[in-house]
Amino acid sequence: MTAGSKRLLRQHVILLAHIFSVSREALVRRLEELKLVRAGAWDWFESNGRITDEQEREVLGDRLGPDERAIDAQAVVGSRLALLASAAWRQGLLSEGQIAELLNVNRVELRRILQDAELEGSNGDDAPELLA
Amino acid sequence: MTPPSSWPDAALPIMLDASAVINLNGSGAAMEILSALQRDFIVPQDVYEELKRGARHGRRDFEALENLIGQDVVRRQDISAVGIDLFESLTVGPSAMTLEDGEAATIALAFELSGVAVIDEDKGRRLAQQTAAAVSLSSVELFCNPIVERALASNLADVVFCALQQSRMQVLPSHHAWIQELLGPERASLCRSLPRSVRQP
Repeated sequence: MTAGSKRLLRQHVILLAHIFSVSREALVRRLEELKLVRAGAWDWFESNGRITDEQEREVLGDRLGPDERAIDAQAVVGSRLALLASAAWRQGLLSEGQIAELLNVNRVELRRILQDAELEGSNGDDAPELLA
Repeated sequence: MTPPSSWPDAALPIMLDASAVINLNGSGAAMEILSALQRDFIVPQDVYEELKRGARHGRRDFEALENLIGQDVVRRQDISAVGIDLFESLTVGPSAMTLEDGEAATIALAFELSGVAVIDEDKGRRLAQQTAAAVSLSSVELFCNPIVERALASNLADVVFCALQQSRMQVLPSHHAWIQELLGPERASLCRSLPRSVRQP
C-alpha cells in the first residue's frame, strides 16, 4: 500500500483503516507500536489539520457503500493501483502520457485518478516518515 | 499581478502537446485564445493520433482539434529526419528516462523547428531541457499572456476556471499566485487540480 512513498500519508491511513475496519487513530497507534512509523505520528496528524471525514469521502468515494470490495473491483483503476501510479508520477518516474497508456485511460480520467490520490498535495512533505 | 513568463520570440512556432490541447478545449475558448495569440501553433502528428484514439473512448478533444485545424489556427506536422533521432532517444529506453510518443514528438518537433513546446508534465519539461535544450511553456501561460488577458477581458476567470474544472489543468507553482488572484478563494477551493495549499490558503 505504501510502496513508492517515504511518508505515511492521509490516504494511506484512510485506506488501511478502511481495509482493516478499524478507526484511523487505532490504525496509526498500531503502526507506532509496531515501530513502522515514529511515535507521535497520530499526534502529528491531529495537530496538522487532522484527518477529516470529508477527506475519507474523497479517498473512499463509493467504497463507503456496503460492498466496497465489489465496487473497488469495478473501478477503472483500483485505489491501490491509483496510489502506486500517483507515486510514480509524483517522483517523475512516469509521465502523464505513459501512465495513461499503461492504464488505458484518457488523460482527464487519469488526472482525476492522480489528483484524487494526491489528497495531501505538497503538504504531504511533512507527513510522518515510514520506517519500514 | 504579472506572472512569470517564458514567451519566446514571436516568429517561433509553438508545439502543442495533447495535454495543452485538452486544457484549451476544456476552457471552452480555444479558438479565441489561439486566434488572439496569432502564433504558428502546431500539433505533432503523434499528438493528433493520440487524440484520435481518445475519440473512440468518447472524448471530444479530437473533434475540437479538427475544428481548430479547419479554422487554420492550428496545423499538424510530423517530425522529419532532423527530429527523429531525438524522438527515438526520448521513447526508447527505461521508462524513467523516456516519454509517451506524443510528449516525445512535441519536444522533438520543437527541437527540429527551433520552436517552443507547450508541455505541463514535469518529467517532459525536465527531459526537454536535458536532451534538447528546448524552450517550454506551460498550458497556463497560454491563458495569462497579456494578449489573451485583453482579448478575454472579464471572461478570463471563467475560462480558466473551466479549464481547471473540465480538464483538471495542472498549474505550475510559479503561477499559483496568479491563479489565486484571478479566481479568488471560493472558486480556487473547487479546483481539485490545484494543490491543497492553493485551494485552502
